[in-house]
Amino acid sequence: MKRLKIYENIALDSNIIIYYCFKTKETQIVEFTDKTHKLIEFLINQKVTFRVPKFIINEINRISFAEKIEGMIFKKELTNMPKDSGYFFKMKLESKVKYKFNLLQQKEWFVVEDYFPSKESIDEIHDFFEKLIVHPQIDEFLNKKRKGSQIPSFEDMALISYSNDKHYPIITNDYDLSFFKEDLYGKKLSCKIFKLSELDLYNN
Amino acid sequence: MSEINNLVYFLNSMKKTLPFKDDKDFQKKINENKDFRIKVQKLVYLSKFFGWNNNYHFNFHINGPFSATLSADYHSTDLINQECEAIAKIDLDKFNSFVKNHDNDTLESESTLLYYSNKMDTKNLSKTDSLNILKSLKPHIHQDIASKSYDNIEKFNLFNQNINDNQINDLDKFEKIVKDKAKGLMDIFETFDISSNRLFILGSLDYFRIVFDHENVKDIEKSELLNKLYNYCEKIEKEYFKNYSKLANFEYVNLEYLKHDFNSLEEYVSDELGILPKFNEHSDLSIFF
Repeated sequence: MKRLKIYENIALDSNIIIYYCFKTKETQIVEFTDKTHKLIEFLINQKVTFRVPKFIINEINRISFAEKIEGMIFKKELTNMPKDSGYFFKMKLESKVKYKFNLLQQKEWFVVEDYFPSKESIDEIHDFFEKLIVHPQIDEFLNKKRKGSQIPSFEDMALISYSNDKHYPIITNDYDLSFFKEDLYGKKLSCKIFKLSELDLYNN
Repeated sequence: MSEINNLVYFLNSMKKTLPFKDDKDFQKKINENKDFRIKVQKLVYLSKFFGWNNNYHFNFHINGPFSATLSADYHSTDLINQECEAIAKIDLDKFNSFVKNHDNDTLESESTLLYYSNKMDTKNLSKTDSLNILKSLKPHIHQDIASKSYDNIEKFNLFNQNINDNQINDLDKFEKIVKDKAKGLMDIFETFDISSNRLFILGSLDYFRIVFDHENVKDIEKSELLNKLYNYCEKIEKEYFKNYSKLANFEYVNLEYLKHDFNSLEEYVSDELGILPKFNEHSDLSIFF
């Protein structure tokens, strides 16, 4: 975590924001919510400002917390679930998580910015991922992300572009952004990318 | 004589249409054959338009109009051998002519169109509107069947007939009807793509279950509670019907007025009846479970 102390501004991916919002009295995401909270608190104390492009906020609204909740309950990713986790529970959990999401956007250390990636930068990033088809680790990558195509979503490519233009590192837990992070950085397509699950809260 | 005696008469009159041989055969089909049960449901519903003003209360389910009380009656043992009473005003010849050679898809189309037209009070549904409604609510039904169903209803001038639900005074029966209405709607909305709107509808209907688990109200209060829950279901059903063309994009339908109604319902359950506390973003959800 100390590696992140040197940055004044850090970009957050949608999954990190979702992990953060899922901390309620009743439940949280196994493994990630607690870690995200500790990380964010640590970085706030280091006077870090979190920067999030507007399209990430729109993506979270579009995917909807309802979909996230259904997926997390199905995959048993939430802790302390009541025996009766029917639709009423899910509806009220969504309401709480949305409330946290709205509160988060009012924090002074959380800044939402308008950002539109240039066509050139998106084309360059798209080209990078397209050429991965011959990369020796492509099968491992596709297995991990569990999708047929190596091309990430537009939002992922736009976040990479945002990170590069603004010189903000990204914290993510998404393989699309993190699996080839060294290659992206090496080719000057992005700033540093940190994968949440690889961050050690106590030693580095 | 009760409604069940009229039902026995009606079913015996429909022996060839359904078909069944005797009580044993009827019970076997009722217990083992879903299509047979659907056919009984649709025939009893449609008979309301041919003079049998039966007391069966129909709610809208995934297969069209369905009555939980009718279901309870046809599951009773030795039904067909029970005493029966001729239904005074039913025009069986006309009814038989209407349903002649109809398969379940046709009966489902006709009963759905008539239920929709009654609930939405749309006397003059054009054929194009009717086909669009059926296409959205019943995508599995072929357009040819939908078209013939509309023509058949028009031919018998059924769109102009109003079928009003009778007042339900028996609170136990009313509770069953409310629970059935909520279940029917939940089954429908569960088939929708996951979205916040879908979760709101399903969550607010699931709230009924929690209220029924916790409530111990009686008489007037119980009647008022059931009426409020029933009316809330009716509003959901109307939103579903009203937005038939937007069901594929249900997440974009504006449900603000329903949310306001649900909020009032929660306040009533909490403040007026003291059954459950009112939820807010700081509430501990465990108190509900």
